[in-house]
Amino acid sequence: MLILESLWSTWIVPAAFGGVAWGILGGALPGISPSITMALLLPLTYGMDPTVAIVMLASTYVGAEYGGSIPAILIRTPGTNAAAATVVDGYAMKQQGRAGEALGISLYSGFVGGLFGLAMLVLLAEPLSNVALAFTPQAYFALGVLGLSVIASLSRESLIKGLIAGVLGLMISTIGTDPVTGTSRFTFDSPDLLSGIPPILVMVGLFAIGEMLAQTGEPSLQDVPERPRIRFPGPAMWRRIALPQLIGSVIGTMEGVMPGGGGAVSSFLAYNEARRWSRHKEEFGKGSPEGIAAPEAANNTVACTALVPMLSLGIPSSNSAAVLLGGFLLHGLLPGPMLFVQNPDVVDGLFLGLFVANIAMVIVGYLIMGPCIWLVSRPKPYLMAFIYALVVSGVFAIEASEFHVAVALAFGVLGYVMRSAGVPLLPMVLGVVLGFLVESNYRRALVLSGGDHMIFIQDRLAAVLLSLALIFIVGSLYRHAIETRPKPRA
Amino acid sequence: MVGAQGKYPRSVVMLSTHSSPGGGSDVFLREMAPHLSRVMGVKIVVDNLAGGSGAKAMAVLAKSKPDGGLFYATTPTFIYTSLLSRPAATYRDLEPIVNIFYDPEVLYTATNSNFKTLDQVLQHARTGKGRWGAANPASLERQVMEQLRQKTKVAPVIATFEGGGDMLISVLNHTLDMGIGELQEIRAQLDAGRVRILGVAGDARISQYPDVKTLKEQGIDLAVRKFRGIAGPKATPPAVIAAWEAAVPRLLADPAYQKIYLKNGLLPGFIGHAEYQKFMGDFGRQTEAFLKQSGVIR
Amino acid sequence: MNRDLALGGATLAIAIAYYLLSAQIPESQLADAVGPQGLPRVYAYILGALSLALIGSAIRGSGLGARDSKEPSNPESRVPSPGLKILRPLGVVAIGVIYIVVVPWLGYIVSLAGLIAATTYYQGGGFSRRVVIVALSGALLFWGLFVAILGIQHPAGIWPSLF
Repeated sequence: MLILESLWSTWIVPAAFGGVAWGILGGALPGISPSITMALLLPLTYGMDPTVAIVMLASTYVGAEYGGSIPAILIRTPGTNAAAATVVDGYAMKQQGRAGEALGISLYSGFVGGLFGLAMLVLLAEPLSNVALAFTPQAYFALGVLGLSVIASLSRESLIKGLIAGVLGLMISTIGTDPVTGTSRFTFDSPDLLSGIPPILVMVGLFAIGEMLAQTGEPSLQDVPERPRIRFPGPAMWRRIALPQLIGSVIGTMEGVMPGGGGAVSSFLAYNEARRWSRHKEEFGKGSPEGIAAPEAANNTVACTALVPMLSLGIPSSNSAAVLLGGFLLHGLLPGPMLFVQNPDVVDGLFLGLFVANIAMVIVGYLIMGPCIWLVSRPKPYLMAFIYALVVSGVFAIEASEFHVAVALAFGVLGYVMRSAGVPLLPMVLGVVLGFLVESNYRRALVLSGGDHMIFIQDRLAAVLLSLALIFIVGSLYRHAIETRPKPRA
Repeated sequence: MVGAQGKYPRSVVMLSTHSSPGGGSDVFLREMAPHLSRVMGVKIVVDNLAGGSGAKAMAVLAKSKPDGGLFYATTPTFIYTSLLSRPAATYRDLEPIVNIFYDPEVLYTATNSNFKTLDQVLQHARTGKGRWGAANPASLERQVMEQLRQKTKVAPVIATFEGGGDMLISVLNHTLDMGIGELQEIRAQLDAGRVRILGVAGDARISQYPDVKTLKEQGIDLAVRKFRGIAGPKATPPAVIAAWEAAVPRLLADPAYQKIYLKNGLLPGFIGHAEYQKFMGDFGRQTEAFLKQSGVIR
Repeated sequence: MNRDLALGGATLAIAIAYYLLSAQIPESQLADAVGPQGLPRVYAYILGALSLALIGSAIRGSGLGARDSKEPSNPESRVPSPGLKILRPLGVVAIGVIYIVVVPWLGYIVSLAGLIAATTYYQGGGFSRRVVIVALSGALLFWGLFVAILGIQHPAGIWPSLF
């Protein structure tokens, strides 16, 4: 067994464990995105054997995607963009004293998604890279619209307010450099705003700081008796979350291979689809295990399938993949069609390393669960103070900017106002995440077609995605109309 | 070993970049750092001052002590950022020290497209159906495409993207007739024979692709110089500048490093301090004129 | 439904302000048919229309916008009880603002310790030697994590120049 030999004779195993542990740490810190976590490690890998260095970086990505769900569940703060969808049901479970269970489901689903993604990467890299090539600007636009269509079903409580939040999110996404002309928009001549407002600021502000303000507003909030019991899902739970995991894995596979994705969109789509196909729809938003399983399977699938276009085309599909590409280049390796021919040993080593990384994720993730839960079970004043310190430190790290801390605070106030006014938060996050994708590709497609909107229907992929979006929206509106019909009072 | 200029005043030199780790300029610097360290006899450390497309790095540099300890790796980006927004410090607040490389910009198409030559792409654009791409909305690449459109009097549409990878896909799937980018960005596809270079938008051919003609050789008077050099704070001491001027030619002649930078398609482009100041001033003025003429800035 | 009325009014104001700002985006010759103002204008129209719809339904006192008020179980819309409690969150924001203002001078460790101590006190943790110790060791912990391990350059403050 040559493969096993190389496993033991090289540093691949320690590199995978080290990378995963580092990734979980970075992913769990809000503001330290997976790509920043990897980038911080990059200089250290300089002197390593190329394969070991690449494995370490890729493992960091794997760890970070799981790490993001830890604060999402425990303190309502998504550590990464892709963990935003996990906040809803994860934090709801935590409030019911089921934090250990929620973390277990997240970890197990990340593991399943990661293995699924790895299998796709190993077996179907070639055909999947053709999927990436099929994406035209009009198809990207359609994908963005499909993502936005989720707003309609995320706004069960009030459709108008959900749409308002979504449009506000789209407006926030227009801040910065215009994608076509390069003109500055809504930047008030401030270089801080030139590259726009990073979505993680909006998420950390709305969710984490908003929650802190809300809890301050009601100091009497009862402390939920915490049972820091770490529970791995048992067979009954396996069966229940198998479908959401499959949904998440398939959607994650698709998003991973598409340049411009990066996990956040697939998490939301997976969450939404899991609810649509669930037998316990009513539990979503109130602590459904399926609501954690689907997005967490999705974002860990992305961590593997994002390597498809990176390895086979040399084109990074996300910021994290771009850092990994940098790692290849630094070691004199050129990802692309020839990599599999010229450096098959590196590719095999990477696949092997990713397999080890997914196992390492379960082991490391399991070991840190207890301490994490212990940390969030401290008395409330201390807990709040440390969450605050974590948030201001993490947000600063994005661009070493105090301005960003101020922006996050402002979004905290906005989040507090929004929840006081009964406006859902997730649609705004979706708007911010997808606004740029939608606008830039809408305009790019029209540039290419000379202003003809038919281009969105002539492109087969775009037409399919847009039809799906339309079906989703009409379906949600129909459901909404039925549910809000005044009921006859007894 | 700094030579006749005496000892370099600092033992550690920070080279900052606006690129985040793993980005184009970052990889370039990290590849260069060990060789430059050897040549200059000091420790070169790469520092990422990402943020505001160079605005942050420029602000830090402009405020730093001119003691030879901190420099900024220049690319045209810092000129564009200076002109497009009003950063706290602009390229005019920095001292251009020396230039090191030119990064050739090449026009390319998919090998399995209908186009074999630039002329065919231009012919197609005359039918009114041409589709060209540039990676970023306000960038040197965009400028080349806009100027090419003006000089050849054809009217293709020019789509912009969020980076070279995005655009490369659009070239590979024939959404675009032609794209423009640095050699490094398309090297993997080039090696695999999936893209074809149509022309070099620079002054000279690229040594690894000696058959590919420059635009000038193809009868189009258009050449840009995407520079990669070093800038420092104003009032950088002459001794420090002299040390750089002595070191860079030696760096470029270093056989170990030559192998790396030639593979990446970089052209040695040493420019001494006095001339580099003029170069940067000209580049800034030309860019400003283009941006004003096309109405991007007032 | 005063709350929805106020919300609708506020978002209508945002829509108008955003529209006016988008009209100031300079014209560019590089612009496409849609232009940099194109989608912002559309967003402003949509937000305006939604705001009017919300105001309308609030005045009617029923309809789409009012439904959530009957479901206080929704965790997203926990309404704080009126009175001083609404002002309390502002104190938390103030602590953050003070942190941002002082951190360039006092540096990361001192400012963060201050933030931890102030927040603990504000959330009812009292002020004791224990709080001070926790705040200081917490700040050191975060410094170790972010500055020493992750290499993030949090401000050092005026301290290095004193020695």
